[in-house]
Amino acid sequence: MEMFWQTTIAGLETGSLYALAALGLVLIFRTSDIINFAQGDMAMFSTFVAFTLFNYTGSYPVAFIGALVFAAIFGFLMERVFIRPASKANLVSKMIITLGMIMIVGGLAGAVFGTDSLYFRKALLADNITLGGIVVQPNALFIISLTLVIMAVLFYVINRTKVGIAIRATAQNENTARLMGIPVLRIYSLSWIIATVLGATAGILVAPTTNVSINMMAEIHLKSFIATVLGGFNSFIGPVVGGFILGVLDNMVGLYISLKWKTVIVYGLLIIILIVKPTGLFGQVHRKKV
Amino acid sequence: MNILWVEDLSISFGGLKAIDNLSFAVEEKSIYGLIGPNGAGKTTVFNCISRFYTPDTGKLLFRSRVNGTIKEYNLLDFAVHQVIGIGLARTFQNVELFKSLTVLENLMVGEHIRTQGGILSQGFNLPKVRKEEKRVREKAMQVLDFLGIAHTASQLAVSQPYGIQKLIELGRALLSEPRLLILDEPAAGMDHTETEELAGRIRQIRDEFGITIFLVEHDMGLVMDICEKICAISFGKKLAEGTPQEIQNNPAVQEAYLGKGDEEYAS
Amino acid sequence: MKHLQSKPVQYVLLGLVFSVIPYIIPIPQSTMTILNTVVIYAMIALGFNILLGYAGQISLGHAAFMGLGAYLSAYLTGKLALPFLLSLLLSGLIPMLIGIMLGLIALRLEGHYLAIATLGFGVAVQQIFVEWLAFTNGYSGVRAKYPSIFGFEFRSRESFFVLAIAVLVLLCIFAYNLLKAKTGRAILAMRDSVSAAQAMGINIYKYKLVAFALSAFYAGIAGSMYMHLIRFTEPTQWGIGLSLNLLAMVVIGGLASIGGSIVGSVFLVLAPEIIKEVPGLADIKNLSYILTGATMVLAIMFFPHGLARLGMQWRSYLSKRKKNAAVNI
Repeated sequence: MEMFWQTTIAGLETGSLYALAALGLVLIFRTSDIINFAQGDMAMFSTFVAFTLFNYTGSYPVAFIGALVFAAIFGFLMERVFIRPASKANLVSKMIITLGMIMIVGGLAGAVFGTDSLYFRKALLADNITLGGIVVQPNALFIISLTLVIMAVLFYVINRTKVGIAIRATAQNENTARLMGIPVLRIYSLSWIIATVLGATAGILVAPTTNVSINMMAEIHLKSFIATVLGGFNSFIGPVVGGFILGVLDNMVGLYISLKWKTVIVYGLLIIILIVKPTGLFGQVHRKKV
Repeated sequence: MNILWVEDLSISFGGLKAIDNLSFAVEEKSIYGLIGPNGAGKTTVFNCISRFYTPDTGKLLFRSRVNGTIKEYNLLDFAVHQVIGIGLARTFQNVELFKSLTVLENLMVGEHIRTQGGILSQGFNLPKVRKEEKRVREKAMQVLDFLGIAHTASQLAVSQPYGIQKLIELGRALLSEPRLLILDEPAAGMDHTETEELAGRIRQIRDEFGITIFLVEHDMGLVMDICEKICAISFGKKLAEGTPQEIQNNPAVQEAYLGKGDEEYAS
Repeated sequence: MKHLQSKPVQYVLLGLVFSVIPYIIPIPQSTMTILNTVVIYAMIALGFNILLGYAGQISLGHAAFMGLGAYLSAYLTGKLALPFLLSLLLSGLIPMLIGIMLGLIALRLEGHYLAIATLGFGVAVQQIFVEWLAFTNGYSGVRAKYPSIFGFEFRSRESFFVLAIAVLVLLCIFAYNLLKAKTGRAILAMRDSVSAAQAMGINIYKYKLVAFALSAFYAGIAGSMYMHLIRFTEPTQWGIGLSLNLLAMVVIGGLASIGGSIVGSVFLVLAPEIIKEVPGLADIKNLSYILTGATMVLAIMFFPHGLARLGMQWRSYLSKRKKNAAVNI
């Protein structure tokens, strides 16, 4: 029974990271109509920056915040340089550009930071505590609460502020939003900035488990897609919920069924979702005008 | 015999009811028109009939007379790419040509469902496929001839002037040997002379091939000139159905649509 | 003379010319391996181009189909001792069938769902390569024999080159014929106007499936040929990097163009080799990967018809400028 609860907490921990990454993904998708396939590599790059900052300054908070600042600028630049010029292109072309970005960002990371796998410390270094027979890592609790706080803030912004309305309007119908005077281009930049920062957060928090390396974000990256499909591309809350569900499911499958076939089984889940309800738990089917 | 029977057609988008309990019938071998102000729902009606949309309620029946026997189809049983197989072809308001293909190839697509030869036969260029390609090419050339644009056959469709593009689309639909041809604003963008030519061509298609024509148009001149029966709608609801004379004299139609500028057509 | 106009005849003639060159001019073994690799990548690029360039669908998992072809061929010619040609065919057919199953699910949905489904497929299959020891031997890798047809063993790189070119020419001719016929028109129609294509009776779902199945078949064949060239493989070769490189090959070389697929594979294989020769550049790690990505992005933005039709794009740019200049007078 203890294993069950421990696995659930571990699941919520990884689920938090999936949720962060998935929210970033869907934020960009709903506002600028692009799937940013390079998100994982951009997060990896930001994590390397955090690692480097930590080595120079010895201060974890400085490294964390510094990397987030870097991520904000990074996201802004990527959107301006790669995405903005191609805004009139078709869907496939835009996807191809983000795929090219993977090669550029991933390749640069290897060239600048090297191809080793480096250890990066946890955010919270406190020892494990035991609650009623269950061993709990304070770091895990930190990650889960940080994610919940970030989500609460973002959802407040999206649902209760003027900026949030602008984001939702752009997400629903870009041309109308433009006509209503919403600075759509600035919304693009904003969503890229937020998404990259969310990705960087996920990367820094997962670093102790995966080590900092070129491929560190591969798992979270793939799972963030599955979480978004599970939650629904047309909703903001869906991918977040999907991320948490996926995290718990992932760990449960690893515990009760098989650790080495975990990825394959979870991929099977994606296929089942695509067959049964491709619009996801929270997605709605829209009648398209021809 | 009615070739097309529309009963209580309704469809909503979000909260907006685009078509509201619309009923009308198109007589076989007639030229039938659907008119209405902008936003009345005309193209939506077309899209329901040609199965791009699925209506919320309503009956859509298609009756086809082939070799003496009459077959009745419930259009709602057919997917969008299947309607051409039962004899229903359409054109589009914004001429939807295949940009990468030549004029001839655009027309050849009209014969798609009848073109024989599977993937393997095509890949190995078997004699069966070569014969079929020749047959389809010749059939397409015949239609191009009929429309008077045979000289454009090997040019890219996208590089043709607008008027010819409209003819290419018409030819593509004709190739499928439809029983009912639905034309979505065929005169859009045409001047007076071109519209007159179009009117003649539509009549010719109906007279020579026995194809029923159902068209949506803004150009009152064309509609009143060639349509034998007209249905007028506004805000998705039917205003009136009848001969051009009856429609012109109908006060509800006059109020919603005709207005002062078109008095010259009122005789 | 009219026969020389036909593209299939040109492919055969070009193939004959190229396959004979190594027997006339001595070429070092390492270069022969590079040339063979170019031919093999051209095979998969060809199929992938039908999917991306013609049908407009993105797959991020085609490395999995190629890897499947490789492992299958090793298994079929090895443990099952089947003849090479049969194994080659099966190494194309079985990934094709798997591709059809995946396509049946993912192709009903919008484009980004296919990208995600194939992304996951590539990851999952690579994981299977690692864990299914009975079939793949995991990280230890698997070996294969030289190809042999009716007793003749293709031991030398030169003879393999002839075999590879022969297979490539056949694949080119098949693709060309298919694209010139009803299927090609349907796929291009689908790309240019989905609505009009549907109105003309084209089943969009079916033709997306056809393109996807074909691309998986070509990938499997390429995988089998690769297996019998290098005669060793292990799971790390079949990851997202290869899938991305495949995408880049086709975009850079030229979408919707048979010649473009070949130009693209030449670029992809030669670029790293050229970089190795340049002093200074050779020291920057991953440079060829970065450059390939950058070239792909530039291609999409500035020369969407690819390198193969750069000439055409230049000419149409010049004629547009002439038109504008004339108007301004």
